[in-house]
This record gives sequence, structure tokens and C-alpha cells, in this order.
Amino acid sequence: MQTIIATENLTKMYGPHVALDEMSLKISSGATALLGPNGAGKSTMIKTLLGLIQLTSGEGEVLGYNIRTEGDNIRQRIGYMPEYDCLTPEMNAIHQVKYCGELTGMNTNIAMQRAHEVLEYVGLRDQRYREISTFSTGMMQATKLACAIIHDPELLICDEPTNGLDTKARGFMLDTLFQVVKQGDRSILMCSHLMDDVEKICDRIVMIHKGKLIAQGKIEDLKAIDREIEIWVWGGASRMEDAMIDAGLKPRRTGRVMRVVRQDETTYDLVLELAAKAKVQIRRMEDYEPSLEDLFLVIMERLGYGVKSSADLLKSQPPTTAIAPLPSQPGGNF
Amino acid sequence: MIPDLSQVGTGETKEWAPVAEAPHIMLDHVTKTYGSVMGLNDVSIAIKGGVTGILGQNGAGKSTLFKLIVGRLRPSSGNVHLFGTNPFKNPAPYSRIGYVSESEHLYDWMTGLDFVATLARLYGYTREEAKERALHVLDFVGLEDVANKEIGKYSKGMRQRVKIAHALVNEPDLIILDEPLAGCDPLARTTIMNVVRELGAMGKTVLVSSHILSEIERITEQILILHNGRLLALGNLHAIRELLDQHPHRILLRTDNPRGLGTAFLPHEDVYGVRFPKNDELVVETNNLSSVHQALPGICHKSGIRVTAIENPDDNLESLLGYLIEGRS
Amino acid sequence: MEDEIPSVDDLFPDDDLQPSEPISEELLPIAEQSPQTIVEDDDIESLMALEQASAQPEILPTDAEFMGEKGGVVTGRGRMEAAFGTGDGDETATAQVAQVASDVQTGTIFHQVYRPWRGKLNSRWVRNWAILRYHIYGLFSKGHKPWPVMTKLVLFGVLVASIGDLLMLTVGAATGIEAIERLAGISRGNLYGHVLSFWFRNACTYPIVTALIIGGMISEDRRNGTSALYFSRPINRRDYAAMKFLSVAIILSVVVLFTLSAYYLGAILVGGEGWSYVMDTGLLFLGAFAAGTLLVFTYTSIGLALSSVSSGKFFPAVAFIGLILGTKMVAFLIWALFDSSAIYLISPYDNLAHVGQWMLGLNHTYEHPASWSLVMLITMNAVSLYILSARVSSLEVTRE
Repeated sequence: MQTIIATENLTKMYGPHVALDEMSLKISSGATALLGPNGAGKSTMIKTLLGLIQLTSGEGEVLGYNIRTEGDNIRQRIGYMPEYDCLTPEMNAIHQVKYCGELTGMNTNIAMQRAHEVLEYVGLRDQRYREISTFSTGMMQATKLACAIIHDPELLICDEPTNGLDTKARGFMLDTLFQVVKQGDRSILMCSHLMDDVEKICDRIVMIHKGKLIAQGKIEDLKAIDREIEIWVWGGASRMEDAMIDAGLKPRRTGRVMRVVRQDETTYDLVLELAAKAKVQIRRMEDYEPSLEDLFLVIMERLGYGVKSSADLLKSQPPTTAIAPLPSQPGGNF
Repeated sequence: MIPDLSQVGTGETKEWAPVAEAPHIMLDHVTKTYGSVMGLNDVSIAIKGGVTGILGQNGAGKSTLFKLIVGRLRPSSGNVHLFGTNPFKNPAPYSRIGYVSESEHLYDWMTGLDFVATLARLYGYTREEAKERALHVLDFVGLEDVANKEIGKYSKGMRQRVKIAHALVNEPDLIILDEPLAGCDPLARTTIMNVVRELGAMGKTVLVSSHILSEIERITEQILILHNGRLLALGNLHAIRELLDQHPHRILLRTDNPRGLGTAFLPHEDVYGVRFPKNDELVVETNNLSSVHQALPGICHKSGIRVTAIENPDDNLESLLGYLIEGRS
Repeated sequence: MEDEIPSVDDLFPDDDLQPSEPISEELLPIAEQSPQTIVEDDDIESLMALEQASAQPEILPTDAEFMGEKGGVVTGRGRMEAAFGTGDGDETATAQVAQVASDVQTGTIFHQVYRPWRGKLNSRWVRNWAILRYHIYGLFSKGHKPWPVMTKLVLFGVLVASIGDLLMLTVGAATGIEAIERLAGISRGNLYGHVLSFWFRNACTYPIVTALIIGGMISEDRRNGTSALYFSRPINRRDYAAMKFLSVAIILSVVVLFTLSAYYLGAILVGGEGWSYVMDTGLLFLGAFAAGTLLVFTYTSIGLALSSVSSGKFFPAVAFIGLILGTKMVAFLIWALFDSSAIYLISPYDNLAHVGQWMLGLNHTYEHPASWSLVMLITMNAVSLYILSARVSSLEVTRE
């Protein structure tokens, strides 16, 4: 586990606007996620790691090369998979990927051969001679991935790799990325908003907000959210809630879902006993494992950005001016 | 709620007089073909109120369905009724629809407030009314702090929310959201999900289409599944699962003493088998999920064996889609 | 049919299992004793179970960091939410299952094997050559830049038309008709005409072919987003712009300068002039060549500047033609009204023509000094190159 990215007090200001604020990161090899709400400075961070930005102050090293002075060396060893479209629609996939290899400095023949290998790896073996304009979103994402890994980079930076993919394509993309880390023994830095995806692939996260580093480390190490038992009650949730309150448990409830703090092993037995007495069905009971999304939301709450609950949304009442019915509308409003 | 379809006409053409109980959306044996390509194949749906998740792979017919509902397409056969009238080339119901499309194009130079207020004016409100409604609806989606910022400066989550806001400004009774959560960070996602649930609770009809099953599961239990242009299922996800008799129901219990607990379940008349896949797991197989679940707490408590988890492993959207679409068992 | 669930005792009276109450009493003591009993067993599994069984697992110091504190953890409560339609546990909603899809998808077994590559990556100029090759080879070979068919056809057509004077010369030499030989032979006028005259084929065709070539050069990279592919690799922005410039310049040079040289050589070889002709007319040829180079350079820089400004497909091409022909037209109209040839300074074409006349020693058709035209040309080129560099530096790699 070596450190592949290390930065020290990186600061970048665009005039008065602070894009990066004294970032001191340390990212080790393996799969890491770069998280943060929109506008947190992730793009600037990525551009900085690619060595494309002139920093206001601070130092940094990626794969052992200085960010400020050795940008070319960094970009030879990094693969970047952008979020938005970046392919020429009129080209064939194989030629586009080959060109990407040549741009990195590969010889034409080697680039061509490697392009075949890499397109087969991402699952586009049968479609590699087709024009990119005929590709579905899933195939385009796979081609972008192929462009990024053609030169076998040590670090792969992916920006929203499952953007716009349907379930099957998403699963395949995530599997492919996972294999790159495991089989290929490469490192991935993944930016995504889908916490489920992140949890599948990455075990460490780096979270930034407004240019500042909020959290970094293993997901497991960061979580200390209350351990609760979650139950789904069918057919009398209110009775169950009352029974639990009477028994001294303090359940939280939303509709038919309830959670109680797990005090010890006997809490399970108590819950089932109460359910039997109240004659309700317990369709699900499990230790609620706080997910990465919960972690994210709790962190944002700590920073002062709550999510509007339904109660808040209901506070503002709609104005009661009526819409004049259009002449051809039969019968008026329902 | 989804009314019983047996009340709907069986192909006779009736005059649809707008009745207060008429469903918001009604498709009666609708087929839509594009030349030789099948868009929708004999689909009958009735929806009134609530949030319905629309699921299906790309090309299954979701966009065809939306276009038929809002009247941009005419069905090749069958009837489409929106609020009781035929929506094709009929602008009357438009004031009651809000549509949030997948496309990314917004007027980047306008502020959020300008954008929503201007679009509100297209519905016929006066300038003051439009501005007031715009402010209210921006507040509803949580954008009141940035209402005066240019849309070009919005983050992806804010752009999604401003799209939803503009669709809500005329207080529509039907809202169609096509992939509304794409590209949003978890904060924006959770806010939008709250908004959608709230709209459903207010009695509006909301159709949400998304590829990310876990998100649909968080938003609603009412789903509509399309596959290759056919309607595969419509209704509450658990009810649909219960109807799939050829896939027996399983209840997974985690316990230290699965064999002992299994013996406790066997006498129940609806349990037809128990299995022990791992040495801390018990799987109870049954054809009548409700009755076994009703008895479950009692059995567990009486047996005195500690159960630490209860689950229906295939009662979720992913398994449901698997059974329905791929014929997996 | 009994309504009650028979108790375990009734069904299995001989079973070793104890009736419920004693069991539940025994359970508690076992739970309390479990840490000790498990330790005695010396089992890896039970040691792990021991860890899990302890009520509050200690948070060991790790390299995690939260809000600036080392080993910080995130405490709080997880969000609770319920999907729409869950209600209070009512399961009475109706459901219909229309039919099960009959086409079962067959599975494919697909082995993904990651093959590493540890080859040598070449240096900067090999990469730059790749960019050049991409643009130029794309005109005649598949697998490189996909030029539109129209562009390739027009290019070919203009190329053929540019050899027109060579063909005329050959015809003249072959048939021996004096008139044709005089018309098409090497002379200041004809050299000038090849490169610059207001003869139809040059005044319109060269701008048209330039417009088609520069049309998508940089605007496509902006529109398709392929700039991300270039700049996330070790490609310098200056090299990128330089290679694009060079590729356009080379293509135009083939159309203008290569055909000029072919014409001149043709006159020597075919026109029966002999190599001593070079001594007499070599400087003329060089003058025309220099004027042609200036033309190629100017058209390329203006064209690329326009291509870098827009992100559309047609705007740069249309704007280029509009600029070249339009300024000439406007200057002509104003000159007709005010009779001052200095107005021609706004038209790049006329500036080039004027400088060409000066280089070839022809009579100037403009009244103002040629040095003014030269200065204007240099200014136009400088402005275009400045715009080009500014816009290339705004090409994006990521978009927030």
C-alpha cells in the first residue's frame, strides 16, 4: 500500500474565489472515492492532480512526480475517463482508441494491437468496428474507459463512470472497474454521486467541500453512527410502536419502518416478543448498517446543510389563486 | 391508488364524460407502432394519484408511454385518456401537466427565478402572480437561496431541481419525471425524493422513471414495469411479488440455532419446507407469505431461539425484475 | 382444521428439545458466559465471534481523518425514510401481472482478463507527429480524422483545377499552337495568377477550400469534448495548436505551392525551356512561392482563429468566406464611391495581392504603398494567432 498522491496545503484561487483551500491529502494505492457535493471543487482537484493548473501555493506529488513541474510525466501515467462526451462520433471505436494511445506516445502498431485488447476487455469486441455515433450510452462509457486504460496507467481517474447507464450496463461497468483494481493491481480514484457504486468498488474515501478537505480514510473507520435495529411492520405499526414505547424502547418511526437503538443481544428477542403480543407481521428485521450515503448526509448535516424534510416542505402553503379554465376544457377542474 | 381495471370499458368506444372519479391517466388496449417497430403492445393502465415508478430497459417503451400520455403521439389502436379527455392535439389538459425531461438544455443566462417566472407567464398568469408562484415553488424544491443566481452557475443537482420547479409552477395534477436524479449529489437526491413523495401524498399523480432501482425503491412502492413494449406488471411491488406463484416465497432468518428454529416452523400449515443454506441461516419456504409472517413473531418467541435478522430475500425490485423479465427462477 | 399453531411439545413429544420457557431462561446465562467459554475453545472463529460479541467495539486509531482530526469518526443518526405507498402496513393494493416475458435471454460467458502493458512511451515530437498524421492522413485513409465527403471532393476538385495551368501548358507544348503557349507559359502574370489573381478559380476556390478545411478543426474538439482526450495526456496546448496549424498549412500548401512548383517544373520539362531557364526566372518563381506562402499562412491563421471561436459546424466556414470575399466586396464598393485605394487595406485578399505584385515585380494595381499592405498582413496574422491561443487555452478538460 504505497501513497500515490500526497499534497500539502494546496491552494488555488481564481481571483477572490477560493477553489482549493489548503488541501493536504494522502491517497494510497487501491480504490479511493472522491466525494463531495456539487460545486465542491472536485473538477479543480482533478485538474490539479493531472498537473494542468498553476497553483497559487502548496506542493503536491502524484505517483512520485511533482504536480507543478512534471505534469507531462504524470499525464503519461494517469488515465482520465471524463464525465461528459469526449469521443468523435464519426470515428470507429477502434480508431478512436488507437488515436488516444498514439497521443499518449505509443507507436502506431502497438497502439492498434493494444486497442484491440482493451476494447475486448471492456466488452466491445464485436462492436469495435462500428461508428461511435451508433453506440448506446453504455457502449460510449465503455469506449471512454478503453481510451483511458489503453496505455495501462498506474492510476485511473474516473468521473461518474456509471452516468446514464441502465442497470445491466452499470453492473458491468462496476465489475470491470473492480477487476482493473483487483486483477490489474492498479489504483482508481472515482468521483461519483451514487454511493452504492462507490461502496462496491472503493474502501477509502476522500470528501471535500468548498475546496476544503472534510474527511479521508477507510469508510469503515469513519463510521460511528448509532447502531440501530430496523424493522418493517405490516398490519398495525401504531400498535407496535405503542408496545415498544411501553416496554421502554424508544423507536423512531416513518410509516411502517421503525428503528430502535440496539442495546444488546436481547433487544432482538424483546422486539419479537412485542410483535407477537401486538399480533403484527415483522416483514424485515436487521441491523441497520449505515451506508455511505448516510455517512455523507450526516457529514453534510454536521456542516450545516440539512435535507428538507416533508414537514419543512409543507410549511409554505400554495397561493390560492385559481387558474382560469381554458375554453376548450370540458367540465373544468377535477 | 390504482383502481380496479375491470370497471374500465372493454374496447367499446364510450363517450368519456369527465367524472370526478375518473383516473388521471387511462390507457385502454393501446398499441403504438412506428412502421414495423413496436413501441407499445396492447397496454392497459389506469392511474390516479400517488407516485408510480416506471421501470424498463432502454427501448422498452417508456418514452413512447410518456409521449402518448401527454398527447404528442396518437396510438395506432386503443384509447388514451388524460383527465378524461383525449390528449392528442388537445391543449386543454396541458395546464394540468408538468413534464421534466431528461434533456440538459436550460436557459443558462437567466436566473432561476426569471426562468420559472417566465415559464409561468406562458400559462397565463400575470407578472406578479407568476413571480409569487415562482418563489413559492423554488422554495418547495429548496432553491430559495440561489433563486437569483444564473442557471449557468448552478450545480447539476440545482439544475435538476429548477427543472422540477418549472414543471410545478402551474400546480399540475400530473407530473412526469424522466430520470430526475441523474447527476445529483446525495443531498440533492434526498431533497428531490422528499419532494416527489410529498407531491404523491398531496394526491397528485407523479410518474418517475429511473434506471437506478434502489432509488425507485426509496421513492415509491407502486411500480409499472414495461418490457419490449408490453406491460409486465402494475401495482404495489410486494403485491406483485405475492402474485408470482411460480417463484415460492422465502423468508430468511438469521439465528444461531437454525435447525431448532426450523423444527418450530415446520408444523405451520403454510410452511412447506425449510432449508439451512449456512449454519447461521434458516430459510422458510411458503406459498402464503402473509400467514407465515403473522405467525412468525409468535413462533420465534415461543421457541426461545434468538433471531437476529428477518428478511425476504427476493422481495425487492431487482429480484422482481429478474423474475419477470429474464425468466430466472 | 385447527386455527392455532400447534405447539412444539404436541408434535414432537419425544424430542430432546425442552419446552419454551426453560430454554429462554437458559439463553440468558449462556449469553453472559459466552466470552469466557469461547476463549477456552481456542478457535479462530470463536475469537472473531468474541470481537463481535463485545457490546461496544473500540474504535482503534486509524489513518482516517475527519474535520481535520486524526482518527476522527462521524457520529450521528442515519436517515429514516419510507417509500410512497407503504402506509401503515396495508397490503391491500391491487396488482396485476400481465404476463411473463417469454424470450429468455441466454447468458454469455465472458472472460475478462486484464492484460498489463509496460511498453515504452515515445517523446513529445512523436506525439505531435501523431496529431499531424491524424489530420492529414484522414483525407485519404480510413482510421484517421473523419473528414466529411464534401470536403474531400472539393479539395480534390480544387487540386485538379490548380493544375489547370500546367495542363494548358502541356496542351500548348504538345500541339505547338503559339497562342496557347504564350497564354499559359511562365510569366510574371501567370505565376501571380496561379497564386493570387482575381481570376475566378483562385479568388473563390482557395477561400472555399480553406473554409472547408478549417471548419471543424478546433470547433469540433470544443463541441465533441475531445479536447479532454488531448489535454489529459501529455500534450502541450501550444503543440496542439501548432500541429493543427501545420496540418492545415500543409494541406493548403499542396493545393497552392505544390501545384505552383509543378507548373514551374512543367514549364521547364514540357515547355522545352531547359534548365537554364531557372537562371532567368528562378527569382520570379521564388517571389511567387513567397507570396503563396504568405497566402497559405494568412488564410490558415484567420481560418483557425475563426474555428477556435465557435463551436458550431458551419459558422467558421461561412464566416471565413464571408470575411475574405465580403471585405473585398465592401472595399470595392467604398472605393467605387470614394476612389481611395487605401480602403482595400481591410481586405486580406487585397493585401496579399498587393504584396504579391510587389514581390513579383508586377505593376501595382493599388495606389497606396505596398509596405502598408505588408504591415496590415502582419497585424491580421498577429491578431488571429492571439485569438487562436486565447481560445485554445479555454478548451476544457473537465466541466464542473
